[in-house]
Amino acid sequence: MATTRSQRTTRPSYASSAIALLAAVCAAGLTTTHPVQRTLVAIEALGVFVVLLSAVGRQRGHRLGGLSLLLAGGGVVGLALGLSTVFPAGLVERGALVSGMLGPVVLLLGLYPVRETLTRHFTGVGIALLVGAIVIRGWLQGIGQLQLLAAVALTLLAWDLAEQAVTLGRDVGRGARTVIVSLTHTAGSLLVGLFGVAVAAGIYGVPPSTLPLAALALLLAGTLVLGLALYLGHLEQAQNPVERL
Amino acid sequence: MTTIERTQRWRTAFVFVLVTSAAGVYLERPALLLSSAVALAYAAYPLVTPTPTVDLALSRTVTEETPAHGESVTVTVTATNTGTRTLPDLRLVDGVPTYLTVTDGTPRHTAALRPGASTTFEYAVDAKSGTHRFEPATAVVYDVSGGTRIRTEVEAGRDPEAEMERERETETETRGERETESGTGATDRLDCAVAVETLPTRRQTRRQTGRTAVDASGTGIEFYQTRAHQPGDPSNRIDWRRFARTGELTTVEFRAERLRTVVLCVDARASARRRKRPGEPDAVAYSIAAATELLRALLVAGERVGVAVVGDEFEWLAPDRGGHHRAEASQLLRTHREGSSGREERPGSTPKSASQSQSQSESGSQSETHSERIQQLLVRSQGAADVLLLSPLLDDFGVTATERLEAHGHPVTVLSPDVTTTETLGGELARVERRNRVRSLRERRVPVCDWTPGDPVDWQRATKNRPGTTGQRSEVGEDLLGVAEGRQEAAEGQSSDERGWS
Repeated sequence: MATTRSQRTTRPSYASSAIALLAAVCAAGLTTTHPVQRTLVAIEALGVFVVLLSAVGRQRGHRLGGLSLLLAGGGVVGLALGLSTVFPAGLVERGALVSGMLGPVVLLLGLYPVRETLTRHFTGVGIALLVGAIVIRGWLQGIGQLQLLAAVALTLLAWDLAEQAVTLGRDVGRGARTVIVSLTHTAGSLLVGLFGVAVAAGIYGVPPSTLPLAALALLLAGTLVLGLALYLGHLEQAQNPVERL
Repeated sequence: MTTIERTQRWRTAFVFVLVTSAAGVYLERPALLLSSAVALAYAAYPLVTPTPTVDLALSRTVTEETPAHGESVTVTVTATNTGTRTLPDLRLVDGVPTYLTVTDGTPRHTAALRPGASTTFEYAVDAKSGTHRFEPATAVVYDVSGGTRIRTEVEAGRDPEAEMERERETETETRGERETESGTGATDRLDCAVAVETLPTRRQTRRQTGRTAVDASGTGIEFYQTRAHQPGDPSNRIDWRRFARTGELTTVEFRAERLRTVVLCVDARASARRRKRPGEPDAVAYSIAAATELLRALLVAGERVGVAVVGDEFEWLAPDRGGHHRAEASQLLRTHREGSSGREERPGSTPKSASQSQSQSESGSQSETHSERIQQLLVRSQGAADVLLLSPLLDDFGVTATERLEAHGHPVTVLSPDVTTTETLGGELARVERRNRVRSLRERRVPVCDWTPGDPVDWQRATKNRPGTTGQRSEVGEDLLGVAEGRQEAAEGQSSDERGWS
């Protein structure tokens, strides 16, 4: 009894998981171009949250209610996914939609979790699917610039909160209240995302220069290398953790 | 100890930047290339967030510091951010004592704390016999980006109010009474004392004046008997009223009060460290809990008490009295509570149930060392001493020890915590074997208290409950009861006598 309970409590925490899934679903919604696609994502979102609710119910001892919610939510998600594979006309368009819609579902598999040891793999794959959808949409130029930026920000937010859910689960388990902590963390990450979107939109608003794309890419590469150098210096302390008595 | 580490959470953002910028350049989509700016902002996020400094004050209170066995105790923990920085993501795990299980709520808590702000959470534990120390709480703090993780341990009791209260208490109370209190102020432990209803029957005393009344005449304050006067009897012992009435000279004798020496012998061998089920205290922990309480009770009764612990090594504390001795003896007992491997033997890791004890498979060398230990006990408790043996009786050690000690003239009383179970077949076998040992000891007229942890320790009731053995034990019981009744009657008689004299 004691061991099963302790195993259960190291699972990803609910509050952060819910916010992560919300961010992922929103990102998926932002990568759509047609109202029908948006409806499909909304149906999927409903299913995803019903499944998460079933996890809450099962933990609180409502086995039957939890199971029925799980089945209902799973059915709704399956329906939305099935429709997404048949609805759009073009193969690439269809790929973008399916990839975007699979992202939150795989994330859910990680956070539910289907298997605790695979949580991080699932979240990684879920986020990668969302990135794939974003890249295809950016290539197709089907969505607006701001929409694309917001989708990127939300995808990263989903990743961050999924990680937060995992670490919270390891540290305090599912029994503890984590809403305040999750919201504080979300607020910080959301602000950074908004800042990034604002900066990118600002750069986009600058009148087109004669600078070729390659030069711009080099500039970005330079920034990236600088950032990496700083980051690695930051990480050095991880190899030699500071210990204070 | 505080550890700071980087979580590398935002490493993913760099991958993101690489993917989107590469795709943007390859597919010639400026919008995609620009979107990597958002990811870049996230990548820089942990670099610009300051590392919080963890300055926490923790106070812990319980609804009942001295609960009964099985009683539910609510523990309330308050953490205050005494630093100057906000802690955006604080995760606290309270150090619940090893043998206590949380029954309600969770000892894990999260909070975001501004400087000076505090957070409170509570959980319930079921008390078990013994003294349970709370361990320091573990605090994990992440910075707001989640890029830095600080792990530290926080001792409870830096609450200023509790500190003041403690000082006040220390002023009013004497040092002797407070010797067992630790100096942390707030609750750092639960004392679930074993209720001792009767002390074991006294069977042998030293010829020294003490406080234990014995069945013999001598100097004392309680009436014992009258007898015919013999030349040389002190004149103030002559019953002059009777002389006035009958003309016969009689001498009044008083009950002698003698000194008693008790050696508490705790069986703390590895084979005695059995428990009913994982997560529960083992037999040694229960024995120690009972021994601590018996030590206190016996010392209060004015006895000289020695302590012998038969564990991996034989440890001995010579019989003595006084506050210092009591502190020393309690310390000796406490160190054996969890044993040398107590830390690793967390619930669930190596659950040894009572059934796994193999009484017959003890190697020759082992039983040799055990008999050596008993020999040591005999040598060290030279002179008359009662031995109070605390053993779960899961192997033959208790019986052999009792035999040897009795053979050398040390009356033995046994207190045996019952940790056997009927849940498994092996457990049932262990239970039957143990019951047989208890019976064989009782047949030798050794008072055995078959103690179920949680019940009060009571030698008389333990025997009364078993009709089959009453006959065997009744003599000892009657002996004690007889003396007690005799004492009462004598006391009444004497007081009436006194009235008569005045």
